[in-house]
Amino acid sequence: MANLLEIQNLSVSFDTHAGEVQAVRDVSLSLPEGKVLALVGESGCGKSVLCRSVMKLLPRTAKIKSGSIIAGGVDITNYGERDMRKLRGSLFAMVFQDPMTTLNPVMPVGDQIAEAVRVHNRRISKEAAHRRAVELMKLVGIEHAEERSKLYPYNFSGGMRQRSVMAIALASNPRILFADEPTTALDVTIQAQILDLFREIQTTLHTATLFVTHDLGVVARVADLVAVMYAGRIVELGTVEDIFYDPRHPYTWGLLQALPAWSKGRDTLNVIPGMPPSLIHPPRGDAFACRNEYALGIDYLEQPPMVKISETHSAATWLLDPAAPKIPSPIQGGPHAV
Amino acid sequence: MPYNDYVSVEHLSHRFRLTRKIAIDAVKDVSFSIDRGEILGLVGESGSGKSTVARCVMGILRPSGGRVTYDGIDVNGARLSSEEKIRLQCERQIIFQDSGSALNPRMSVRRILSEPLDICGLARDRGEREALLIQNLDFVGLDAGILESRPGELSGGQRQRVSIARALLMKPKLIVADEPIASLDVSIQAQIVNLFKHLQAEHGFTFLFIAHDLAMVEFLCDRVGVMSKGRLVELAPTRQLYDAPRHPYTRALLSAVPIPDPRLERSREIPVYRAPEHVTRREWTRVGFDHYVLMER
Amino acid sequence: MMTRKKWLPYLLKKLVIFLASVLALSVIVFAVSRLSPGDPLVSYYGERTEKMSPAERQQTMERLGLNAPLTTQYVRWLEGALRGEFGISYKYKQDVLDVIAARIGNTLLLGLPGFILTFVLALLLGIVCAWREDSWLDRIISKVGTVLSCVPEFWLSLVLILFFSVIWRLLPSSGAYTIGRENDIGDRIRHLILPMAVMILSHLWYYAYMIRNKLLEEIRADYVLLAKSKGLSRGQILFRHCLRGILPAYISLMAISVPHILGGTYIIETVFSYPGIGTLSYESARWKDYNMLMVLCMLTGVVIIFANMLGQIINERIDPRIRASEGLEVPTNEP
Repeated sequence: MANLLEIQNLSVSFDTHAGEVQAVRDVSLSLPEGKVLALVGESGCGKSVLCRSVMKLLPRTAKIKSGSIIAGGVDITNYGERDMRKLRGSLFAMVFQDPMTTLNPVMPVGDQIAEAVRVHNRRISKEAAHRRAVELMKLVGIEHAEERSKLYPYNFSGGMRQRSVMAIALASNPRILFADEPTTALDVTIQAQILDLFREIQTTLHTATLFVTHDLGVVARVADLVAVMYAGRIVELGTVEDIFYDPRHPYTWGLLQALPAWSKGRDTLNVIPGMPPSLIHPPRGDAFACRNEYALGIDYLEQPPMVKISETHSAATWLLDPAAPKIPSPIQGGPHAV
Repeated sequence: MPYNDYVSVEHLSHRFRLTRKIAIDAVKDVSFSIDRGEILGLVGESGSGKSTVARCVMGILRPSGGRVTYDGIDVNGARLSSEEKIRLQCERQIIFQDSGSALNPRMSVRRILSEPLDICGLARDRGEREALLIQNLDFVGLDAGILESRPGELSGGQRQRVSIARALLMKPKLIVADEPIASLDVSIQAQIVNLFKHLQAEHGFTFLFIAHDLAMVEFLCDRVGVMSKGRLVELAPTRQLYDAPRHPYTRALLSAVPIPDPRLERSREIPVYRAPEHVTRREWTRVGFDHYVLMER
Repeated sequence: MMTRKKWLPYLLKKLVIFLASVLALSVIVFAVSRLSPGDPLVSYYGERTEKMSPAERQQTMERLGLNAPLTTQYVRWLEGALRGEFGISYKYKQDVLDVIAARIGNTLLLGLPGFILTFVLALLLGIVCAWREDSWLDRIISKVGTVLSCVPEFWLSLVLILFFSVIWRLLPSSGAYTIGRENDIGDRIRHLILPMAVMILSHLWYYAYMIRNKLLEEIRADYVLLAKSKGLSRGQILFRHCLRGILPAYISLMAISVPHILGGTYIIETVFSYPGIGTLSYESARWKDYNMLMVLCMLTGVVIIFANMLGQIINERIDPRIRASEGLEVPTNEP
């Protein structure tokens, strides 16, 4: 299985008035063909920035400080705008969070999809591009596609808009799909349909998907692989089974326990106390230490290394060090065993 | 028992006029009541009319049909005594979804909190006001150091705590919270919901909690109403609603929430709910103890 | 989608609003001009007015119909106007329409190309500045623009006349043509250059700056991110997506600015002694030439109201959202 996307030791920073924000810190990640990898974490943990830095869609204040990005076998770390343009849409495409604002309000939806069809192939006639747009709309499950292709975004419901954005993303047969919280702005009943659409597309078109979300329920439904991010770093990486049934990092424990399902029949919901640290001056050692009830002394001094647990599973915590005290995982058998 | 229904909403409807030709019925014939000291949850998807109901209960919107009474006082009544007006104003408080825009960015937390105190004349002197501010910040888990900050310098969770403190200061008997946790991060959401539960137990106010997160509602509320397309379709005690939902929409809504267990989640089909098209009769039917469903035929 | 049926009542509605506005305008102009102090006879008899006896004055006032109550005067004027008779100019002793007809060409020659050039140049300049946001070019254009917008038109005119006519003797300083060369097009254009330059230079910047800011606002919208992730170039995004988004606002602005630019033309005409409507308006207001003043005010008003309506109609054609809010289209919002 080839890795379509390979990120090695990537660090991305923003220049702001207050100082340099280290949004992504030393992240390594690989995305194999035909798989959905979910990036999970709280807002501000760097998951969206990571996603956008691969497509170079970040504002000018953002800089790749170090590391490399290899997409489709090519090192694109130093690619300029002109080179990136050829890859956007054709090698990778993106679905954004809010379908209400990501479509151009004054252009018919069909035209916006047809435009994406013709970007990388000017030889396609306008009529053929329009036919392809209608086909794409059918592919993403929009009924009466022909008539609806002439309508404007405001005529569409939230779910249909997000489907249209998916059609735009799929227009030039990209091999990698980035999805940045694509269901967060949608209603629950629509969410399930869009998630199933993602899975369907991934099985029929064999695209690899990097799926950014904060919702572990969503992860359970769409993901094959999961990367948990905290304060700009990946703290745990594994298959969806590894993460849900055998999590090793205290932050992952905290996230799982904070799910309301874990607090059924109790007086208070489990919470992770405190707030994520500022990324302008990230704390020394493990950024999670001050919120971590299992923190060891060394956590405050030194960043834990990524420890391999199995072929697919690794986590960055000192608890996995042979010298650490053995702490049994508070997550045993998942929330439904409670 | 004169005022058993502490808050009562009878046949409430509200129509928004967009232009002279287009109008939207945001709320259609909704009736329910809230008991003293109860936490009632109202859930539904965007556009279901739940926020409009909240605003009608608060008297921010004047309903186009029906009646809302608070402790026997008609909220939109034409002839209210000045005592009744003051009661309505001070005893009911609302907390909005986006505390970022609900709090004036140019005011310090101190000014935001003391303004309502001054208007209602709740503090006799500066010392008493200061004590009240600090006491209420303490209720919501903030310390006095925050008083000089402006909303822009606070995190979303802190801002929402300030909003809650502002509501609590008035010693309200009814708090309406319109999606108070929707714009917060997951781990912070749980903190705020815990805070609500704790505060309600401590202060005993009646609480109308509007949300779209079914899990949080399940945890917090005594009774839950489900809204769909402007109508209240089901109303039941929380356990009953989550264990034995009766209306097809409630069932669809409950089953659409993904379960954080990959094996279980992937093996199940999520049914798609289609609203019945030609409804000729709607009947609000009692199907169990305190459990009501809108039967549609 | 849009149906023909709905357009007819829509246009009728616009027409009714238009006529009502014009009527209201005529009442206001009529009342204000007669109630303001001044002697209309001066424009008719000039110096001689001072030597008139009260009886003679009374007689002439009677003859010109200026003694009747205001309402009667207005009704008489309206009756004439509906027949297309607007009376004679006291000063020129000719039919008002004839006097205006002789001059309106000059004003149109100055105003129309000036307006169009301002419109187009502002658009281009705005795009350039937005494209190169914060570059030296953007900064210089903004600085120069700020300075030039602050300079009053009459002063700018005088400075240009000083340099181009007096010192360098390149261009004529006043008039619309050299006497005796009425039909020489080259000569006419030479006379137009300075007034038109003043008109464009003093108005261009504000609109260019607005275009720049609106475009930048648009460039930061979410849909630009999606367009970018499709693989579109910056130019394609700017011209196909962003420009389409700002045009309605720009057109409204230009429609509203017609009076502003028109007012500017009047001042410019006066400074350059350019025989157009502007000079005429000034004279008629100064000398209480009532009939002339009425027609000129009405003309200006009609142009402004018409421009506003045109702007609105064009916007509704461009922007689907306005079309929906006007009820011309019913939104089909299905799940």
